[in-house]
Amino acid sequence: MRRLSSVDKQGSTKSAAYAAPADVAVRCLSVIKDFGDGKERRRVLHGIDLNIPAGELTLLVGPSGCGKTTLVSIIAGILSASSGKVELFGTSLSSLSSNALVDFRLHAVGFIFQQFNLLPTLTAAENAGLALAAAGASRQSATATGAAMLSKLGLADKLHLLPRQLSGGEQQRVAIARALAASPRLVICDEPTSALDAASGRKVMQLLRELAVQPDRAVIVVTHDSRIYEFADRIIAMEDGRLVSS
Amino acid sequence: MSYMNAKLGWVAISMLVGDRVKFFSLIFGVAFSTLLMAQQISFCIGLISLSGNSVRDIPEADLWVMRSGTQSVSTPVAMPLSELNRVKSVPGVAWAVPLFRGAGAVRIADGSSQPVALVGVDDATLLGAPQKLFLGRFEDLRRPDAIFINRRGYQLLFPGEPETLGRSFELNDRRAVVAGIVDTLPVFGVSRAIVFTRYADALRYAPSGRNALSFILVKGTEGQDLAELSKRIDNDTALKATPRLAFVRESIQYTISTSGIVPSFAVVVVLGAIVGAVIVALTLSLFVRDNLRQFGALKAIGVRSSVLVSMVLIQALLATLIGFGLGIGTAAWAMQTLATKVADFSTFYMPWQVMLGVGITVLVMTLTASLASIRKVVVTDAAIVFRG
Repeated sequence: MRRLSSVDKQGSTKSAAYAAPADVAVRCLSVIKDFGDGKERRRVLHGIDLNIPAGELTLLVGPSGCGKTTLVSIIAGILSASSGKVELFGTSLSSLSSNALVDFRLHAVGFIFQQFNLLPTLTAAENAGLALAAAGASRQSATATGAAMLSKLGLADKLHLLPRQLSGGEQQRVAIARALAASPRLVICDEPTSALDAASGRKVMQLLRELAVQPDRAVIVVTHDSRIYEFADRIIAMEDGRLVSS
Repeated sequence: MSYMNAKLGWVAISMLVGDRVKFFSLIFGVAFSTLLMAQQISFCIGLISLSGNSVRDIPEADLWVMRSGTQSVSTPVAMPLSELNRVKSVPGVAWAVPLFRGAGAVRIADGSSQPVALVGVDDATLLGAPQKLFLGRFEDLRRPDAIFINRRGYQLLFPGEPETLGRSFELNDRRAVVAGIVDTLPVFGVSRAIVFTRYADALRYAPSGRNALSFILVKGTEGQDLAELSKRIDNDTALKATPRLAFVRESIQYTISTSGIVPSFAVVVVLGAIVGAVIVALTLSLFVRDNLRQFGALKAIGVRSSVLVSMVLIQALLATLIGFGLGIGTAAWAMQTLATKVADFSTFYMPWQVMLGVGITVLVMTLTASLASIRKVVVTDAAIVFRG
């Protein structure tokens, strides 16, 4: 198990170790995000500069409302930055058209949500294969790949169960399978352990480390859960829309 | 629909079918609307079509000749009998026979009166009498006081009694003897009993003064162009000659314009469409709202909005297809049952044009009702999935 290697105060752009683009999974340059217009305008991100290297599991921590979710939403291309630049594995998100961005996200980014967001009427295997199906795979092929991924996650005997028939930890494992089945290069996890008990949370993080952290991939975990800090390669702390030391 | 859209069709169907309450509500909404529209339109068409059945029942005649001003078979403007000879003399006429149409009242056993339609057919040839004789012989209509009556009429005059010949009753205070029971197409109007008698006897039962001729039935000579013959009769006699099927349509049109039936049924049909659309719109909207996080998750994963729109459309179309099938099937079954069980509605059926029209209406209705849901899916922020 890799232990926490560093705590970065200002984000990794300050670190020469991550300057080489080939090793950089996510690069944020002066990212600003405002919500609202005119007097109602509220700045939630204040010029974020950040490099996240490939091959590591990075935790993004901070109090509620500090801008963590907004930042990962921008990194994932779900929200657009008001100004600044975001690159994923060398691709500038702002250079992509709306549809190209969606397609890029489909193939390059996997998501694990706090509330799992599994489709309640699909089986575990079908849920796990959903991203592949969305990318154009047939139902059979997507489900088979999803089932194989679930087997790796220890759910081989629960492939045909619906989400409501699974425990919280099992549902989160299905969500992990869904995020990893299409082999995305970036996996974004939003509070993946907050709805789980301690044992399930540890299990989920162990699986994430084993399966998602690869030399050419990166994992970003947004979390409040200090119990999982030990699984991180890096921890980036945020406060009031800025990167700070933790 | 693109390849990718079709690939996620099974997800859309699974989402819809998995939410059984809303799935069945959608189907019910569409089925109810379809049933109401299809049944009511078919019934309306069946009812209105009855007004042409008295003309359809006399297939021997090519043309119906009448006084101008006559708008339907049930509202003849009478003319003098001398017109018959004028028509007979028009070149191209093979034969022409008189037809009397009037009303009568039959005193029945319990002392009450039953209105009947009185039809007087040609004394010599009996042309104009129905083709299907259920009981009796055609030539018996020539006997004194003889009448033929339709089966529905017999049941009205002698309810629950076996159909037998020789029974007598008073028709406009004159004796009439049942010499035959005939099968006729059901007719539109209050009196569903039809009494057929010879023309001369019809005038005896319903004295009509100098103008006692309702229609002249005309057969053209072999190879005669009927449009031409019709024009010739119009010009030579100042009467109006109308081809049989055209007169059916005129009679139906007259009923449509004077009875108020169509607006009454139209109100129900429109209500059916509105109620169906509201049920579909509300249910689909609830369904999308309840699944908004799932749609948001799909959006976040990288499913395009156009694919999500196609998913909602697939869901709406599936519910429409099943609901329409159930609704149209039930409506067709209802019409068939009505036609076989109720003699007055024996000619009722569901025209294929009604099925097609209702199908298109229901499709438009559900697609329109889907718009709000589609908009909701399109504007949903994918970031919704990051909110706890």
